[in-house]
Amino acid sequence: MKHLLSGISLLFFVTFCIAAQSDDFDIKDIEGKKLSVNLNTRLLGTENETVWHMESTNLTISGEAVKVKLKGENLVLIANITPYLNPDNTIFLVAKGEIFLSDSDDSEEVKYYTTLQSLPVEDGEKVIFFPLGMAYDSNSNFYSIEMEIQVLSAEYGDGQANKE
Amino acid sequence: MCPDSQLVSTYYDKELDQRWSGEIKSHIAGCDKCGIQVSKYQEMSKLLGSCRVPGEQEMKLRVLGVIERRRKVEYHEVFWKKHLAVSVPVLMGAAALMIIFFAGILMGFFPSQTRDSQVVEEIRTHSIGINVQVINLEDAAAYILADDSGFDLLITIPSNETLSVNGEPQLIREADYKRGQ
Repeated sequence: MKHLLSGISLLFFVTFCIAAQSDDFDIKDIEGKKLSVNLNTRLLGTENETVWHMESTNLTISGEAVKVKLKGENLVLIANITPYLNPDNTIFLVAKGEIFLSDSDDSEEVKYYTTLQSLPVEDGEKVIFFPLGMAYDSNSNFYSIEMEIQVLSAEYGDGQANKE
Repeated sequence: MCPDSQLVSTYYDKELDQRWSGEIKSHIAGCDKCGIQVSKYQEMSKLLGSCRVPGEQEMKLRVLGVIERRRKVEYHEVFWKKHLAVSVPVLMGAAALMIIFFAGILMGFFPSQTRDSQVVEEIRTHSIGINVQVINLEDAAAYILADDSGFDLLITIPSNETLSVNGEPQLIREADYKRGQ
């Protein structure tokens, strides 16, 4: 009987040790991965001038996308901006774009485009995403969209979010 | 006439029938020869009762030692076949502890996975997974236009201008970009 009690005590002790190891979760693990994604979405006119723009800031963590839905007259654009924080505090930025586009109001045809772009960036560095492509020709007679993306890590500080 | 000495011995051992025993008893009471024989039987019984067997204690200890050695050998040889008398509460308690033990081992093997999944679940509280079956792009577009949930940012362009795709999508650094060129 003494041996049985000793065995049960040993089992209980080992179980307690294992359970104690699995309960060391700390929310600070997440705090270190906190990222701020600043977006400046701009609509460019036929002369590449900024016709309209909108700024926004979203908080996320490494590997979690900021999901943006942009509605236009004849299109719906869905952009997923996913920053991955590297151990050396550089950022690997992935931009996924999906476009549902109709040529005209009376057209029943809907075109679908998708793209996946990536770029390694520094903390606070600005990049520009052109989901509809780039308008190289200044005389081109069409509008375009550009999304300026800036990813700031928690260590970079909120006070420098507006750094140019 | 005196009875046979074997018969007297049987009487002394109280093994005779009651009828014969009475007659022998009355004969012995009146016969000196038979009375002396019974007295000899009594002295012999007393002598045997008072005698000790030589070396009895040593023999007893030796036998007990042999029994003890055999018991130990049998205990080691058939340990796994030994039957233990365990009460039901003790058995149930041991079973519960075993379950807790193995559950603890499983938790110890996969701590990071459960931890990450918990974190992701907490962060995605406002996110709704898209699970819709579409048969063509028109249905997909209709669904996309109708459902605005699950997005962090919703932008509506305040322009009636028609937008179009102007080539391959690009992701470039701002330092490498000059608008219009």
